[in-house]
Amino acid sequence: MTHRHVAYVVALLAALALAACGDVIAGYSLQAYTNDTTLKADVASLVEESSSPYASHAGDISALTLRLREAYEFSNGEADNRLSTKEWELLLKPAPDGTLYFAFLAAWNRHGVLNTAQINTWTTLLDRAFDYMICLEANKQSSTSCPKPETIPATH
Amino acid sequence: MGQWDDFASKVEAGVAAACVGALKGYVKEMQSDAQAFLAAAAADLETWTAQLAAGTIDSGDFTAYLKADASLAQMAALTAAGIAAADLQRFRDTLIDTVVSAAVATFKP
Repeated sequence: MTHRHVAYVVALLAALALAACGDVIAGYSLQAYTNDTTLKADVASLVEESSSPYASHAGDISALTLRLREAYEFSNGEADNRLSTKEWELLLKPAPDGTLYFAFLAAWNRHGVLNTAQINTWTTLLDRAFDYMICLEANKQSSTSCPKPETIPATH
Repeated sequence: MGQWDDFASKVEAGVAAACVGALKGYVKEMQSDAQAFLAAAAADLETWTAQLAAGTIDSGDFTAYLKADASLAQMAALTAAGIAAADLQRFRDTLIDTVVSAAVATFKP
């Protein structure tokens, strides 16, 4: 047996060893993708509502927050899904240290109502967060380019 | 020995194709995504600075936006890591399939 043949026996054994290892990353989940896309739209709708008083939307906020937490729990329950779950944790990092969803709610609560510039910024920032999550999930199925980050619309 | 050479050439061809599929354009794509993030962050900062100066937002908003952008940078990195992991997973699956298929096709009586 030549060195080359030994190398291919090693390759075969390595392939078998790789096959025995766990997955590198969770497989594509239609449920996770649907959670990402529908909640992106729902969060954007809630941000649009922030031109009216925070107090009048307590029920909407509670309902959407519950759905976001359910989506996080789904992600957390999937095997080998650490990266997507970490993204959910960043999105839902709670007050007072929250930087995305709960930071938007904190700003809305603090101001009472948000102006167009504030709404445009929070819409864009939260859209970007969901776009990263959506792109990661899509790439679990097949190699896909991520969209470029949206720009904040100008306000006049 | 002829069988080994046949097996080797099948594995070589399969692995070469898998490498091209897994790695094609990956680095370029990651560089492009990083540049796009930095460009967006720079544009954000310009927008928020102007809004702060105009009184459209206050310092609390400005701080919150900067923290949000920092979290988005982490999300961009997590997505990049996830894409690399997904590509590696596909490469691994292809490698296993290639070696097993070549072995079966070559050595099965």
